[in-house]
Amino acid sequence: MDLVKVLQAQWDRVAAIAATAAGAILLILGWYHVSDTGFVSKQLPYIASEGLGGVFLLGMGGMLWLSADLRDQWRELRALRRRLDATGEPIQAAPVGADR
Amino acid sequence: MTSVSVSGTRTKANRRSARSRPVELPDGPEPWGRRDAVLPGMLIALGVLGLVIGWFGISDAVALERQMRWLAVGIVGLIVGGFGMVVWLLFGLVTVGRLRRAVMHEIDRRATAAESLAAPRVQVQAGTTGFGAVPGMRHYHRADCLLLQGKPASFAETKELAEAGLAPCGVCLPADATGRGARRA
Repeated sequence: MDLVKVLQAQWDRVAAIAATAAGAILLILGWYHVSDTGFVSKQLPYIASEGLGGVFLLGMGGMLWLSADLRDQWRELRALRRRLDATGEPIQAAPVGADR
Repeated sequence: MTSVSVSGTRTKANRRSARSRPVELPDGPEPWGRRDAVLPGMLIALGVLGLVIGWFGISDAVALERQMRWLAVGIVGLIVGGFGMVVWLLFGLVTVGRLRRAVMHEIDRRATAAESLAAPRVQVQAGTTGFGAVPGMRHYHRADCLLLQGKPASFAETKELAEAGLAPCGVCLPADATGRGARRA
């Protein structure tokens, strides 16, 4: 399996994993730095940078992973739509309330 | 898309017709268009900016009170950025959901059409004389009556059927049976 091709095809999941890993590392580093000092004024900068930054990156990783899932669903539905379009009249949006 | 009446006020009928009008489905390579990326992108960028400003601000501050202010800036940045991520996912979910509903609706429509084509056509049952009835029925019918199609009917002459307490069908008009079977006008 060609790694470059996998990275190109799954760039969003690779980015999600990277962001999640970076967020986890930041949080661990933040915890380590905060536990190293007893002064609140020295702890707060670590919380603001590594704590909040780590949480942000974790959220980013989750968003990227879910976006990748949505892209997959989109591609599958588009392929299905193409097949249906090819065998009949083009599909239009379903009426409001249909299929609920 | 909304429709506006002549007087400028949206009426209920206008809104209903706007809702039932077919909406053009997006057909891009991704569920998000360029316009969809603007708002979430701005919110995420603002969030990152807030985090960076809070980080730099808190690094320079010594007093706890000032540090708390910069920490608040960072927390606000985190919330704004998180909101941007949620908006991004919501836009994608809505677009994918629309396409999914359209595809499922079309598949359902075609399956229904195929089923109706495959349904047994009305055929006159060959080799039958007299009129038919199915156990449990209160009327007897002609062999080609729609109400008899696809049912395990047994056939007999009208006299026997009338003796069994069955009345002539009002749909297929077995008027020649007893003279009282004509369709009521």
